[in-house]
Amino acid sequence: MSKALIELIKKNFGAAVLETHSLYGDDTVVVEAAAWREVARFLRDTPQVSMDMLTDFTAVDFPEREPRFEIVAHFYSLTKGHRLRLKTRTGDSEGEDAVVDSLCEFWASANWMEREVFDMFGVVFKNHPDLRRILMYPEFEGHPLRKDYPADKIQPLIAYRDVPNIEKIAPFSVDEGMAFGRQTHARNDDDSQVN
Amino acid sequence: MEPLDQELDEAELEMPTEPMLLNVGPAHPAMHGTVRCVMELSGEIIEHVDVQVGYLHRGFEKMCERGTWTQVFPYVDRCNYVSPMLNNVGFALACEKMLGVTVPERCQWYRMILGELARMSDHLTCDGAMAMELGAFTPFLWMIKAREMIWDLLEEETGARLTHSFGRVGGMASPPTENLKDNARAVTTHILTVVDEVEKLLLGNRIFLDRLEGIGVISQVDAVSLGWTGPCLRATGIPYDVRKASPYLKYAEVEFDVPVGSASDCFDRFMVRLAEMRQSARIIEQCLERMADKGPVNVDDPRVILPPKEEVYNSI
Repeated sequence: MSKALIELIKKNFGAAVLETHSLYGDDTVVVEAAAWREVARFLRDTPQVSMDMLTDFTAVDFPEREPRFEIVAHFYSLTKGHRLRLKTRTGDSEGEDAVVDSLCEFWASANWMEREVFDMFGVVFKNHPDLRRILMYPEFEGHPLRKDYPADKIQPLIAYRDVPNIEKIAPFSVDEGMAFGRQTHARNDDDSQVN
Repeated sequence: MEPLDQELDEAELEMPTEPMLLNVGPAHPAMHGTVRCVMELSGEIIEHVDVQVGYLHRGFEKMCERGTWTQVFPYVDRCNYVSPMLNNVGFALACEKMLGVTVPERCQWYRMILGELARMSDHLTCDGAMAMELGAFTPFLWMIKAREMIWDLLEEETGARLTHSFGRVGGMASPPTENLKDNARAVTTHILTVVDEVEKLLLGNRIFLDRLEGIGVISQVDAVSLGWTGPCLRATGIPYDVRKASPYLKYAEVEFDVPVGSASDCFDRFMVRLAEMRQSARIIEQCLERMADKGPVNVDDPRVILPPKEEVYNSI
């Protein structure tokens, strides 16, 4: 079933398809990084493919290869019930120049998963609306899931951050926030003296 | 005591016009786990939220890279400590797929029974906590008590109450106990009563309904685009269940329905989970009937799985 998909992609993007294989019932197409976005759009918008779900998105680091990173996306079509794994390769042996187009405009789930790949591998996604680290903190040095990142590496201590507009951060002062919820119903001192 | 209907000046009631910035978490009594949400509130409506999820990041992938496949089981346990058995089985199935190994039938039924029990314990927790968060503590305690019965059963089977690490590539750590069938029947019967009781207790409760109906609505298109699966996707009305769409183990051979919602609000997600517990009980009953009492559980291949200890010491 998905073999037909491979043929369809080959027919439409013949020059950009680097490799295809089908193993254990999973079908994979490897395309050039330049065609990444167009192939993804084709997968989503072609009626007989209609991949409406991007179920997984990750990367694999092969330090001895050039290009070094393999970006892996798993697609599933709820209407057609078929799956496809789409891969591309990017980045030189130092891990620099790893740039791929973002798929955020096609699938909302790409947003966080691309942030994770950026965080863990240092792959940059072009036109991503909000590309920042998602799991590690902004001051973290390096990309932990690269194979050359030592597992026992100790990160430097970081200074306290400057927080802009700190007086807007909770706990709020009495007169801020929701006036009604913060009504204290203070006892009138004159009343208590009468009693 | 001061009067409740104290006259308030109109000006005092006026809402502030600029949105309020509220930090929830990373450690907050209402948070299950550590996650930080920076919210922009306008009254009670969340207009914008930035969710920062990294506080619980433990680097499982990096740790898994350094171990063997079997050493990964304790890590997958901890991805969801309420239903670790499902993760165990999922990981084992992935490895077996790569090795081209199929576990014996008895093991497949066994995995399904334990998996569906884990699913029930997960749904009991979700629905119970949902009610508790809205102030209904009684159903939470009932459901957690029922969950404890599942965990007792799993403890008898696996030796651990919470993180079992019970799956193995090519089988399970040990064969089913003699009492499994009786215990599982007793537990599922009890859970079905709890589900009925909770339904009676909550579905007539105006406060509970008001706080769930029409809250957190998401469209089908958005849910699919965000890659939602499981009960949350089914609550939007899409009948996608991986057990039906691409059956693994013996799911193609058992009968069960896929409950779906219609309004895709919090209430539907609550109801889908309740309904799924009933379906899980159905599946477990069928599995218990069809699982053999005797027979091998692990594949007979020393390249994949360690042979039984008796054999190791006496005949190898």
